[in-house]
Amino acid sequence: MSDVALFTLLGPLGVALLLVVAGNLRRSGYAALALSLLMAQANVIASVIVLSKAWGAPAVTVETPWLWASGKTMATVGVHIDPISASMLFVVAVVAMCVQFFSVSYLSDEPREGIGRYFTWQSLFLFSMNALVLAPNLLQLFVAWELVGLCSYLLIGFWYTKPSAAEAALKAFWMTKLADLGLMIGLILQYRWTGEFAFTHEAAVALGPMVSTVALFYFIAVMGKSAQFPLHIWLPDAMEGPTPVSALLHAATMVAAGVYLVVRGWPIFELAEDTRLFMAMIGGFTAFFAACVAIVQTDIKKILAYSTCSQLGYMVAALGAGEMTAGYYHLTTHAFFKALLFLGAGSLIHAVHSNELSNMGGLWRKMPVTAVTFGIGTLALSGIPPFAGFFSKDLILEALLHGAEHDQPLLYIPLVLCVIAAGMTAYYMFRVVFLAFFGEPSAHAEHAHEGDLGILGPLVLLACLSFFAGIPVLTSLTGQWGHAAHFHVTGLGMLALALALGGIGLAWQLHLRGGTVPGLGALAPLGDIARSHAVDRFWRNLYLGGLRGIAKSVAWFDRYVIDALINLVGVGALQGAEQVRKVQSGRGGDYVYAVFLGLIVAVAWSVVLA
Amino acid sequence: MIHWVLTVAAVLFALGIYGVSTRKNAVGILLSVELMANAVNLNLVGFGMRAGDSAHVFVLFAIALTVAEVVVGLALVVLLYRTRKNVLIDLASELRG
Repeated sequence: MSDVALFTLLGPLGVALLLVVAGNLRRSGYAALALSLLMAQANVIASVIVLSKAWGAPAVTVETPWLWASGKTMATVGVHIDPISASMLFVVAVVAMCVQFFSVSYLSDEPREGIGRYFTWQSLFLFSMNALVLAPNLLQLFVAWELVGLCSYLLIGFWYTKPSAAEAALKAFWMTKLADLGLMIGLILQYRWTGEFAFTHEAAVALGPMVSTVALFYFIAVMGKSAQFPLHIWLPDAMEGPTPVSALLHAATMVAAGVYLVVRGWPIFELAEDTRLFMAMIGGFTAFFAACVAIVQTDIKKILAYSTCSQLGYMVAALGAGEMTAGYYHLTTHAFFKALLFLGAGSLIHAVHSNELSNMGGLWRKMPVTAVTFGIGTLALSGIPPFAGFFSKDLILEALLHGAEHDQPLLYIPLVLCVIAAGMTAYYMFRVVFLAFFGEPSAHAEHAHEGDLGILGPLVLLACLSFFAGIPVLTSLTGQWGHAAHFHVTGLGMLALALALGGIGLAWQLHLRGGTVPGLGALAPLGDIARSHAVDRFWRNLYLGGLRGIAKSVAWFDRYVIDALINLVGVGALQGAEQVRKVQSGRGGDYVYAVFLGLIVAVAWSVVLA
Repeated sequence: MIHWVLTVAAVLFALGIYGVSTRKNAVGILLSVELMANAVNLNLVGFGMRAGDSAHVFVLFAIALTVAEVVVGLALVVLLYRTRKNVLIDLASELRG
């Protein structure tokens, strides 16, 4: 089994390295595409084998020493296979395969060099993500974490000649790097305290009183990677990348790496109660806040991006409430339906060549498969039974309620925020559906038509998964991870469902019937706040005021102190030389005097010394 | 006996230094250099009176070397004359810094 798991690492890495080294192969485009696609398919098979073997089996760890410090092994690399990592491996493999397939059609207009570059990075990402998922310790996880960050940077900036894409790539890189400092500090603290990078229960206990601090630093990295308020601002901008990239990296897998870090390091987070309360607050607020912003967006990808922030907020809140399986379960279901929604959006964008909802409309007749699969994804995201999203969201809400009732009353705050956000989620998603698929077709949408099999195949596959990742696997899957969860019909779940249906009704009233709802105008100021990019401005001002202030003072120091010293040396040498050159009179007699004077001095010196 | 020889040699040497540092004519400077060289030779002869014949042989070598040096020096003077039409050393001060 570990051989197969190792294959999921070395296979994609081999393809990526081959394509990096063999420039002709990469630039040919289609060879790179075929290699990468084959490897993605082989990776799915390998992940299925790993999952079937790991199912119900004890964890297997295969490690090899990697770093040495003062005579002993400091860190290892290898694979750690248990039901948690195996199921994540499967999710990543399936979504990656779908996305790569989708990309073939989506990027068919790109030059061959671009296609080669794209699939090289896709393979590198697959390797990095698998290495992250299978990491046997937090150090390997950190290395892979940075690698997926790099892939994210490269793929957001895929159209690097477009200034907005290049800026978005940089922004994503800087924001996540800033947050990654937290992971690094946490790792250093943990190593300093326990002498290892393990995420076992023993390692967590060994941390003793430090456990909350370490967990908090880890959580800062989670906030960056999983786009939690206020570090979420890079994710909407990351939509500048190709849509399949958004589906794979910025919806399904890479942004979920933050949540996965918490799941992996759960023994540490379980003991860190203060940090978990903070997580629940941040998660709940992000779920609500991002949903607010999503409501006022007009760009279909931006809506989905904020929706991703919001759903990640749910996961973080569930983890904060102490229910690991609920958060992780939502991660897996969300990966399928959000990848589905992004690929559906990609199909729409491919058809109408625009991201704006106003350029769509009436598309369901022209693109029935996209409409149906997008609709399934929307229903799943809105939390409508029997789709997967309903059950995972219900688990999260129940986890929050359970936590609030039994140990921490403050958890009512994220609970209320998450319940409200459930209704808003349904509203903004159905707004997309009604505006894109119904109503009058816009000028752009006149000639839209359904894509080929490469576009529709992944949509259908993911739509099936969005359905079957729900109640059919709920209890057995969570049972594999630890605490088996059962679905119960509860008042809370019905309330969330009612709110979701209300949201759908509101969307129907406003965007399909074109009607109005009395009293809705009162919410307009809220919409203005959501549109105002206040968080972006905050970071921008912090950057301008803080970082630039420091840079300015450093520049002043450099210009007036360092440069002054250097100029002093230069001017001194120049002036000194000006004086010394007068010694060279050019008259022979003077030199003779100098020689004899020197002789006398030397003789006198030797006499004195003697 | 030897101190007379050394005294004469010292006087010769001092005259040579005086000549080298005061003469403006390159040929005069060369002559003064010769004076100093001969003063050294005279010293060697003087010491040879005590140390033995090997010093006298050494003086012969030194004289031969001095002649070679004069050849080079005179060649320089001839070259100087060809380029500047005089042999006044003070006027040849292109190396002034």
